[in-house]
Amino acid sequence: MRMAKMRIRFFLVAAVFLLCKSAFAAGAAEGVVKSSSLSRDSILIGDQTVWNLELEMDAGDTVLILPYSATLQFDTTGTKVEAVSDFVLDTVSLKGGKCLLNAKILLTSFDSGAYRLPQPLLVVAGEDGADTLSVESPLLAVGTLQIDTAQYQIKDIKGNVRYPLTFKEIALYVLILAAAAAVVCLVVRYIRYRREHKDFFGRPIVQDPPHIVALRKLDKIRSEKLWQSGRQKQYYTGITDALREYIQKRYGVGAMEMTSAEILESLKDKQIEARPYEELDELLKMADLVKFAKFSPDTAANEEAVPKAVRFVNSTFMQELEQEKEVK
Amino acid sequence: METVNIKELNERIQKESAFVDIITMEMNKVIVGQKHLVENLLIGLLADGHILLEGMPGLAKTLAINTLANIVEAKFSRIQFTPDLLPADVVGTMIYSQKSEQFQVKLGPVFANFVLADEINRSPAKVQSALLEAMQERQVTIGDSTYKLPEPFLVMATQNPVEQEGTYPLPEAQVDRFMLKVVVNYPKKDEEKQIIKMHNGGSFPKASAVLKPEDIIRARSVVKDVYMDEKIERYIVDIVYATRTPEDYALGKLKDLIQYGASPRASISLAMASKAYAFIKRRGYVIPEDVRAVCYEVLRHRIGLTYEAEAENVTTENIITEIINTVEVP
Repeated sequence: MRMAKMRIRFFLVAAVFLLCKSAFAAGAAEGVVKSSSLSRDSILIGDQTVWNLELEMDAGDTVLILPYSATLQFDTTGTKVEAVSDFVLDTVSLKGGKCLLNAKILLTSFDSGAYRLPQPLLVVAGEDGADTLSVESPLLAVGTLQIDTAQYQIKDIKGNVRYPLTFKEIALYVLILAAAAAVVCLVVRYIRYRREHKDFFGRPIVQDPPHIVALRKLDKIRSEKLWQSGRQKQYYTGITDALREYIQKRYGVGAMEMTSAEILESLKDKQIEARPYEELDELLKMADLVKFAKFSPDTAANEEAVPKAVRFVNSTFMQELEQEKEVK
Repeated sequence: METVNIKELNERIQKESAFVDIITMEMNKVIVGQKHLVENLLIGLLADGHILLEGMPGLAKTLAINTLANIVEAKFSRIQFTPDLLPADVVGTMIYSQKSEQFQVKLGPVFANFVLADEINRSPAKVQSALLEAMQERQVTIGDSTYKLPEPFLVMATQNPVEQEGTYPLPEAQVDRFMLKVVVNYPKKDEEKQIIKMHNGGSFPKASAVLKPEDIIRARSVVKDVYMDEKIERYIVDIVYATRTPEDYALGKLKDLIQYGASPRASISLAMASKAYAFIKRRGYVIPEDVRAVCYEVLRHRIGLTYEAEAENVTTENIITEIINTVEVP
């Protein structure tokens, strides 16, 4: 608000300066308002009308127009007209050293009555001075709606007018929905395929059998030389974890959540040969001592731990193969 | 890395735990069956934790406690909790002596090595609080003076799960002070037949006093020395945490069934009871089996169930089973 007032002051000062200059300058720039007309000289309150001005001046001169809102603000004749937009200048023609300009302004009013529009302040400035242009002010009649009080009836409030949605308006939402649906489909497909042990494209994932996984892990534990570097706890934890995982996959018992005694108990009815069962028993007991009792087995026991585990895996796997053959 | 000579440790435990067999033998002379009860009484005795026994009437709860007190040549007192019992009846009070014209302190029955609080839920909260404070602080204040309770000090309380009328259930904070809650079940057919035979015979065997309180104190110090590996400690913490935040242990289905989980006191109790169990099994170190063996007794009274769980007839035992079947064993 404060900025707008400062701008108005600036334009006023500039206009006064130019007027003064034009008064003192001999042979100043010249211009003429050739026509001044309203698109509609009679409107209803709230309606809008366009005021057209045609200006003629020397080519190369500059025309300055004080913002019309400022003119209306300082008007003292009681004109209750408002400028919706300010003057917009447009060059119509440029012939024989003369320039024909068109200036348009959109006006409205919210008070009924007849108003003589205040003159806009138009200044034509050239190299040798400035000239103020005189404008014929048109008369604007603002009418109001007549209310027939005799037949007055209260009417319902009308709802908002709803225009049909265009595809352009909903295109973004459609795209987002389509993208979300695509993501959901992909996730569902991924989960379904994963459950069916398939990759993303539906090709079956080849899973290593439990004994291969266990033997690979045991081989890795052996190659890490853990007990040789004093990490016996890790060594035995690795061996028992590999065995428990193998037992869980091979026999479908929750060995990872079972204690050593529970594992051995659960394997009793699995028809495992006596020797590998005993070796597993020894190994798990030894591992418990190392893991939970800070026990340090001798070198022979450490060296024998992985082979015992490997023997258990191999013998149970072979036994299963034989059982499968017998069934066939 | 510090190493432990497991042979030496086990030998020491074998030597120190020899009395376990004697106690068991003496107990078995009087109590037919109820091995689980006897074992848990021993755990409580060795782990320095109080025991809450729950079971139907006539399941030898009181007899078991009485027998244990007889085996250990210690001062035993029994308090029958009734609705009109007062705190002073438990801890003691000051009595005016006309002879000396002075107030004299009369120590209550709580000043004993073994205290049997029979039917603890029959007395109002103020009496329960008086006893439970003594259990926690191991001392009693009467007037201006504080009196230390004797060592060993073991409270064994019984409660009947059936009768609800005229009973005052122990609040959660007070139940938490019992290390173990042992549920006593009916004896097996053969055991019951043997009980009838003993009864018909007319002569009831009596347990002999074979131990002194000092033996128990010494055994307790050995129990404390039982080695517990970091892996076991982590396992205990995992179990206790699974009662608090089951969703962190792939037990999301229990989330709506548990109102509150076990306290840190439960972790301490679980560790101590596991050590005592290992000691009874003649081992100088704790293995996951020990933790699992005492898990139900330590946790069953420390897990709060929601209304949803009660509506679905889910018990704390069901929840503990789920937890120990899911938490990975080290």
